[in-house]
Amino acid sequence: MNFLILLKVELKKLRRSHIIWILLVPLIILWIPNILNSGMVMDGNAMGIAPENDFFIQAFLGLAWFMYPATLVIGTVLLCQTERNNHGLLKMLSLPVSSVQLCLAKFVVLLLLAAVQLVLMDLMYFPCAIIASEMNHYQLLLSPSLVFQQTGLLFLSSLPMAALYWMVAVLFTTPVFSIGIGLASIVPSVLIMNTDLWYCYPPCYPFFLLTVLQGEMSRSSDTFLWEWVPFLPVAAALFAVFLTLSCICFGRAERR
Amino acid sequence: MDYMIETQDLSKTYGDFTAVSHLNLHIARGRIYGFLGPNGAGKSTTMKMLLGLTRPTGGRFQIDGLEYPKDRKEILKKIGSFIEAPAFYGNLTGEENLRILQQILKLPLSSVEWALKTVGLYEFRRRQAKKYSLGMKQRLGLAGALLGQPPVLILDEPTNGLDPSGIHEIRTLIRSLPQQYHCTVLVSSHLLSEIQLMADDVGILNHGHLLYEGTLEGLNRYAREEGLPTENLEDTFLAMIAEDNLKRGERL
Amino acid sequence: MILSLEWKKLHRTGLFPGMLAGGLAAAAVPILNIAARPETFLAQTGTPLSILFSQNWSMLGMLNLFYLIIGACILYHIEYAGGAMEKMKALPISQGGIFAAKTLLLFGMTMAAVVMELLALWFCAWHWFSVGSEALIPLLCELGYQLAMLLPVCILMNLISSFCRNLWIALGIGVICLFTATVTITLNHPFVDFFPFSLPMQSLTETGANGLRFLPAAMIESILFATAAGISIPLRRRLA
Repeated sequence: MNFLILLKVELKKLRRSHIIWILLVPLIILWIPNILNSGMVMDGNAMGIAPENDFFIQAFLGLAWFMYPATLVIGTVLLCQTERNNHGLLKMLSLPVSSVQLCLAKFVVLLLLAAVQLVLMDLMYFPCAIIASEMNHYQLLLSPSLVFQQTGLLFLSSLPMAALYWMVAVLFTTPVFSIGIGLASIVPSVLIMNTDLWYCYPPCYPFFLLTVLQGEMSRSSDTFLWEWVPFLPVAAALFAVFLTLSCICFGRAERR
Repeated sequence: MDYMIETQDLSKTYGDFTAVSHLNLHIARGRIYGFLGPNGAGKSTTMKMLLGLTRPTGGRFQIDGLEYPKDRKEILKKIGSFIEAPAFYGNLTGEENLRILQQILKLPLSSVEWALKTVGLYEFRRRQAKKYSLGMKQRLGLAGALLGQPPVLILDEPTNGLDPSGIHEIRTLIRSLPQQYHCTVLVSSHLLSEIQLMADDVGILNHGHLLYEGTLEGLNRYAREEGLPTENLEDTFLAMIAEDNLKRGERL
Repeated sequence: MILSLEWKKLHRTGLFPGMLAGGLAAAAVPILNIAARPETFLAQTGTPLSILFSQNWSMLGMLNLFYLIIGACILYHIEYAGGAMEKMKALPISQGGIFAAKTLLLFGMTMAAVVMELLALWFCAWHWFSVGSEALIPLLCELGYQLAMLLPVCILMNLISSFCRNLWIALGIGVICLFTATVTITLNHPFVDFFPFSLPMQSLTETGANGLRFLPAAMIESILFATAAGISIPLRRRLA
């Protein structure tokens, strides 16, 4: 009950933050070239993937590779700066609120922002797929259940990454470092994905998941394998550690 | 005597710097306690400790019989505070800023309107806080402290940045609060003239040490006994600080 | 004078150490990349440098752009965060001068990162391909080329940042622009190729003579953005 109030309050703080544009604009930018280039998926490719699958996977890979993690980083900046700009957090900490709950409420807001971007992505997928189908005279639309299921998995797989970025934002109050570490950690995920220890690196989970799906869709043998063990225990442990650390350290600078 | 806030040997050191040293405050219920001291005397640090924003390095304190840190949340429910610069969210309007506090404190909706009217911000309630003037930001901070009429008010230099009529208005408001709803007020200032017009009791702090605690009349008596100037309380205060600084082997 | 003032303002923002650390982290990428799987690298055909660049530069170029975006955001965030911007406007110094000084600082810091990355690539070429001093000239050319490619985006990003009171908006716009560069690259449209955020993602070593056509484009864009800054900054003051 109390937590819900906090959550409501945190959502209210987002008013006039213009964050919705930062969530929406990259999706528009992503879909336009995908529609324009939809002829390319028709040509078929070496992987032997069906055009409708390819159309879906190309767009979602494009999002998961870096815009989606970057959205999370921008989200943490938004959440932290709103509090720091005019001593907002100082006031919050002087209220009868548990700082752990406050920290968790903010984390949930971060997840909500990420979820909004994914939902918008799905909502745009359907009209875009229809337009591309018309252009190529071929049914490029996949069943909504598959689309929603994959997006749901994408969201779940991004939880440890979100917790990581939230922890970085809480621990490093200097914006240069929190943003720098966040954004710089996105780039090497393509490298780490190719190693056996990919499950130790949360920023690559969503991208890895989609690459696995791409492999399944193309039925080629030379693909990535999704193994629940050791992925699931490691991911859960990392998630718990990141979130615990951020809760412990939340507001430390203000309470000095 | 029934004390609302009591501290025992409350101390705070940062490394080798002592901000507050063995402070024993006694703030009586239903009175206005003026907390006086030059800049950097440790007033804000003390107030932040009372709010749990800074962890004391020594000593303890009780507010309304509740012990810190055991009852931190219960204590905070009783305090309305205004610390350092006003704290607000610039992207929200004055009203929205107070709504946030109201929801967290689980207060009725009407409390926001009351607070806005009390500090005279009601007509500007739909303006974004970042567009407020300095005085309006200050009033918004005060409204946040008064919200829900808490039994204890901790106000750190609440009249900073206000114009003379604003200062007078806020002062009158603070003065009227104990009669209005029986609250206890701890208000800090570096101006004795200010405290003189508002407070019943006074505590004078210099370099983290409490030099005097008692009623304003008592301060007069104390000054006479110590051979300090008494014609003007401001002079008494300045002489007191100067003497203390001298004792500490400091140049003025 | 303004330059040293701007430099002083960066104290304790962590920007310079952050950029150095970022440059070091970026420099580690090619070394770790080849150390983890030297056979893949050695099996490829082409000159050692072209192999190294084709395997690494897309990542390094992106990191450079990230650093540049963050740097630009911070340079103006410090102005807006404590209301210092208002104070600056009230002082008898030119806003354009401040902008130029900030751009120069940002450019210099990004250059430091690029130099570290190129040194790391040189190290890789020396250690795994036994290439020695003959790589110096191509690498120096690459450095010049990268700096030319980074200049327009450096000015543009600073201009964007100077307009944004909120850190996350400047950051969001920068990241979205970079994202645009990565998703539109498949379009193969000249308009896309000359997009300022696309320019630093390619290297002279990979593109060869073909890449030289981007040099005049980068020059024109730099002049264009600098002019835009020169017009908009005093204009904003007049309109305020």
